[in-house]
Amino acid sequence: MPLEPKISVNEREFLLDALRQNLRLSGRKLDALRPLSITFDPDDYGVTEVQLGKTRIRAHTQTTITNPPPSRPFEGTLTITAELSPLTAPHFELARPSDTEALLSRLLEKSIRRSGALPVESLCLLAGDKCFNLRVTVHVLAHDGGLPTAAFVAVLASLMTSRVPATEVRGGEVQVFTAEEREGVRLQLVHVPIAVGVSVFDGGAIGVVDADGMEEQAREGEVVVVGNEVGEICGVTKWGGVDVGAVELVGMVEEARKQCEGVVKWLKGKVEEEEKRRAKRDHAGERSAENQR
Amino acid sequence: MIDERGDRCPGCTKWYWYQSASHTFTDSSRTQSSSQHLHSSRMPLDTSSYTLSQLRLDGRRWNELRRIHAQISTHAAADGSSYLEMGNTKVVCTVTGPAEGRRAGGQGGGGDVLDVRVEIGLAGFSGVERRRQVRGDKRIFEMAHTITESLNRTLLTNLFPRSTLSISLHVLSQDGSLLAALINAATLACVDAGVPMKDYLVACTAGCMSAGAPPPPQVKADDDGSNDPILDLTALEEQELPFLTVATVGAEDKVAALVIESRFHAGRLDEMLAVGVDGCKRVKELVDEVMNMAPKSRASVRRAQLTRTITDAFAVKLRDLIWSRGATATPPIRLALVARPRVALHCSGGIFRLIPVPVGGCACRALAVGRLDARLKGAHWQGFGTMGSDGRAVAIEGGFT
Repeated sequence: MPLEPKISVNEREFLLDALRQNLRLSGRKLDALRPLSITFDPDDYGVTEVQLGKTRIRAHTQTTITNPPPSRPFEGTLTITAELSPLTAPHFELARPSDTEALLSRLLEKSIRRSGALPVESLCLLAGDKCFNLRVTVHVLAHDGGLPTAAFVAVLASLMTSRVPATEVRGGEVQVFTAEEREGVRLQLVHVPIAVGVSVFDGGAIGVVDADGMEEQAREGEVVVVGNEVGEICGVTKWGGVDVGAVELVGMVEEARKQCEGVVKWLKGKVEEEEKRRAKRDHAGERSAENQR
Repeated sequence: MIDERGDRCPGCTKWYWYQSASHTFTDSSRTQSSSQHLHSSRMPLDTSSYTLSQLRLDGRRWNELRRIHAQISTHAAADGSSYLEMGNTKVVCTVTGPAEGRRAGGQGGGGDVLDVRVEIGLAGFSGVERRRQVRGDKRIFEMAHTITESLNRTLLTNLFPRSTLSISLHVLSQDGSLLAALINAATLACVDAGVPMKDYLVACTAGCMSAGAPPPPQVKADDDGSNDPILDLTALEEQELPFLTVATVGAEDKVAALVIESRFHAGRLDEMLAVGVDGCKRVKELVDEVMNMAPKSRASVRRAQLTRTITDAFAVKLRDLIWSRGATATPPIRLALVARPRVALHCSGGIFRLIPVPVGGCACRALAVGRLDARLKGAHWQGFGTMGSDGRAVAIEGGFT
């Protein structure tokens, strides 16, 4: 099993020395995210690829029709799984899921599902009988730190651009239309949660937003904050690591949450742009029953 | 303002329950309103004057912990063990180690620091419905990961290279604050096992009654305290209200772990965290009480004897050492018990720390790590003392590094 390559003591010392002087090796400010970019698959709905610095993540939403769980007859299901393969880095294995993968999946699932970003009631077709099952798969193509941020952007962009098939219920029968027969339906998201991580250095004294791979190796702890566009916190996780003073911690969370708001705004703009481009290409206006008054 | 020690509010001449929190703990912009807010929400001790809306479902006030009952040394077979109840949440913890890693080579105990492994078992009868634990449950995995990562920074892991500490947690009953109870039980068992740590790692939960709205800038006159943050949530409250689990190191505002899984307005965070951190302080006191109340087991008495004998032997050895490094006067050596089972050796030549390491049977080894003063060229000294089963130190070996 190949082990994760570790940075040398000299590199660690140098990085820490620079941080103490408010400098990062990449030249970024301590509270700056790396440039984000997003591409949408032109031929398919709900397939997105996000690049954050050198980190690349691809997300894909698939829709199937299943039976709802008996305990929740009025709800559809949403599952999000992350996959880190040897493609990402040699120390990730296919057979054995790594801790990073399990934690990323868990973070995505709890922050998006438990915060109710997607109302799962809207995925119900026939109560207790049929519902949509949305499955979002996250593939990490390249790992250079900042996995949560890139993964959240990819998943949310994928959900925002995906379509569930149009359906009609007649007398207890569900009729599902193909994309050729009827245009699919966009998902209605209540809010858009995005994660931003603050890495902690120097015994809790320095907080750095969006650490890259090298900084992640040298850091002593991390606070991942999930925030949305309306000033809410949808989740905060600090899985141990170095202890941080409570006042400093509140400051870090607030700092990261503001960054989240900025990312959400950017993402919404990108998605709207993409939808407009698609509408123009597919002549959606002509097929729409809506009148432009 | 209320007198800090006070239990009587000058404003309304009612008796107030003293709450040491938390108004010092907020941003400058909100300090004023926050302290007023707390003032308004202080509650009289006489509960008969309460409106029902001010009490929680189980009759507690907003800042009350549930009953915490704990014991250590509950399992003879384990190196350290504990049993902890926080209300109806009941957990058992057993600790094995620090010992040689179970897996040879490569994985497990191969590193240059102590390898902490945490396993959590949920009993099938612990919840409301009988349920078998699924393998690879991510929620359980995340809790185990949180405990491991928090203990990694709290235990002095650098003292036990190439060793493993296995912490096994069993949940007997679940009624909210599960992660907090697990962390507290793990701490108790680690102390019982004699693993040196910086301070107690303690945890509790805090929640908030109104999630969506930001806290009001000014407290209204008709505030009945129903918008207050609440401490130590039960399962029912956890289902309905947003909450956080916070773990701190010792009684200071040092947050080791923070887990939030619900959605609420960002402005609510500081008051929830303040209440949570304050709760941790009280949990720390309770944990401390448990440690002091614990009946001395045969093992711990024996360990104390060994510690004393070995420390004495070390004192002699170290005095010789310091002499040989050119000290001018006889360095007075003072032994101080810092915290069980850590012993610090203070002498004018430097400070040394002694950590006894039981090696099975009655034999015991103690590890001393320390440094001499700069005057004595600031050398690090590290060594082992070994004691036979007859209770006498047989060998002390070590040297400057």
